[in-house]
Amino acid sequence: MNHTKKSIIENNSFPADRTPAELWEEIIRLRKEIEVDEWVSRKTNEGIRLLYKELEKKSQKLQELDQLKSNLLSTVSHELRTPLTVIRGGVALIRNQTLGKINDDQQDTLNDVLGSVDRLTNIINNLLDLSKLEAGRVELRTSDFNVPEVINEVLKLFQPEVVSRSIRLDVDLASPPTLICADKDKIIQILTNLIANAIKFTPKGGRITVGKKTSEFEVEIFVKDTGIGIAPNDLPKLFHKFEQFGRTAGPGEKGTGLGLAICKEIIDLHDGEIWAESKPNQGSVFHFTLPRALSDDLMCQHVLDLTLKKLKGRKIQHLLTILLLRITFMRPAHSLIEKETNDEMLTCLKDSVRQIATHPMDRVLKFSSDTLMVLLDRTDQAGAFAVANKVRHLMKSKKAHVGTNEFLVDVQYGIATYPNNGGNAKRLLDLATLELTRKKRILIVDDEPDIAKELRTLLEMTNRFEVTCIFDGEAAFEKAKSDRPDLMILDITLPRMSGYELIGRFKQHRDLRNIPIIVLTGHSVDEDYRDVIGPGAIPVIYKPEGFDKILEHIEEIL
Amino acid sequence: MNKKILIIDDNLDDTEIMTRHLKEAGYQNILTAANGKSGIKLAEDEKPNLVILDTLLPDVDGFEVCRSLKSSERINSHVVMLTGAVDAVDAKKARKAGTDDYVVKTSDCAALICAVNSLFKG
Repeated sequence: MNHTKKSIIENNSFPADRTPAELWEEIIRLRKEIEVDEWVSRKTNEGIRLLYKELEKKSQKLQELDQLKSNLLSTVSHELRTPLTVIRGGVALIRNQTLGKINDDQQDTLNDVLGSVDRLTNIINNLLDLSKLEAGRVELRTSDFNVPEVINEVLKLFQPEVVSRSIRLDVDLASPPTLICADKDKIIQILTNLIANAIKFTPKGGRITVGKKTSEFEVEIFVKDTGIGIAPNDLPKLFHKFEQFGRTAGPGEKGTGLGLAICKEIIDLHDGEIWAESKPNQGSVFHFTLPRALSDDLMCQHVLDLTLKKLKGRKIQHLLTILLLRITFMRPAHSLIEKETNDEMLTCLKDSVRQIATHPMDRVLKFSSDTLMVLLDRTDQAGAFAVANKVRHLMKSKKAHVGTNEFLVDVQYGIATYPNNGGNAKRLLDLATLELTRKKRILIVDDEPDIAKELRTLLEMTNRFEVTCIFDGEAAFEKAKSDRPDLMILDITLPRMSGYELIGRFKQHRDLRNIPIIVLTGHSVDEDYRDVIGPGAIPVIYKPEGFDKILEHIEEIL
Repeated sequence: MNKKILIIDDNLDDTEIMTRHLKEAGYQNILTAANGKSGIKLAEDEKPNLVILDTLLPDVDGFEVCRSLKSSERINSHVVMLTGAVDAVDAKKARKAGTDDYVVKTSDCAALICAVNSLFKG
């Protein structure tokens, strides 16, 4: 029977050696096969849909559990700390003989107790630290500071201990001094942790070196020791929680297994990397990188670069749009605007943006004294345009005050999209900057040259627009395709192609449909088209009386 | 309802979840078997109205069990085949083995209950 199927498909000729009855049987059989296949497809699809829902349910449950865990950790930690403070206070009082003399045995015992209390407090603090970091409830307080300064500060703390264990402590600062932009206290925390570990796992007479290496955008700090090293099996688990290694070797307090995990979280917050190299009995080197203190725009470029790298490394590519937002003041007296007002307005702008761009992966950074860079994840040009407009609306209600003068604030925007506009961070930023500063392009389509000229003069007087006049519908469509105006002003009555038809064609074109349109007409709008044009859809200007209104409309739109 | 349902599945947790959901849906008479052979035997003895059968069984091929259930004269029940991971090739095998439905296991057993209900209705 398959022979028949094959010959029909291959030879495309009617099999003459088959009886009608046989062929009919064949057809019935094939029909049944198709029914079965249809059933199979349906059942498979239903199954897939249900499994997908199941996956979402489980994923949500996981998120809830994670949140619960974080909440639990912080509540418990707080409750545990209070009694510990009381215990410590009491024991210290007795040990210090403030409440009366005690003998040596009693003092030794109390010392042990204090040691344990301190250790317990340490564990609780670490747990709390970690849970806050993981829950994203830690805000970095960054400043620009010198690396050697921080290294020396930490090393001083460990002087007594390295001396007592005959460990040599070296500092390698061969590269020139560089400023890094980081949270100073947190970096001290990391260095303290790494150096303490190095001391813990390095035998007497060993050597610890702390140094730094500088590259274009970051500084790498390393802590090297000649200690017992780490087994290759343990290396990948180093920065995991509650993992402890080499506990049997070496003296010193037992750790909490959380130190390195905390270090990793802090470094992640700084967009840096932390890693270790080690071989058993050949010592270890722990490295971590931090961003250099750079000018705002270079910093933005660097962050964009990192973001693009992450994006490109993903299996599923999605869009990223760069939106530059610049504050402009609407009255000409620019020189009166002081730095404080600018800063204030920029903060205001940042808040407005945060209200609109709420995706967790969106980022807002200062690009210059009056400009912000916003990275919008999974957003295309139209989306970015919408965000920019919403922000403009929010900012329009704010006013800047300088002395007794009040200035209205406006926001200019420039957009560039990955991957449509390219994949290089600097180029994307340059493009967005270009879009930010260029004059908006307006296309006027009207068959009466006088009207067109009048409108053009009116618009070009503001010095903010680049105006092109076209007198024919067909030519206008071509021009729009090649030039991509930011706004089109169309006359309804045109030769060859009516204004309505032109609008229709624009709205159907994939790239042109989002360009705003203003309609000009000398008489009232045709009944049929009142839905498409007219209040709410596209603004209509009656010429020539409406011309003074046209600027208002344009301000609204652009 | 006085319908008798037999579950043939070697995963005890899954069986427990399914039993619970079936009982909540009103089916009180639930029997279980943990492998194909004892499942067929139980079906012959107890003559359930519907058999819920996992595609993956420890001793025999699930589809074989389905064929045996459907071809046996002593057993006259609906068969619903269950899987943890939906697969088009399996679906076809199940249909060819004579199953009345092929559904996926989920934590709420929604698909299963739905299939059982519609088989008893129609």
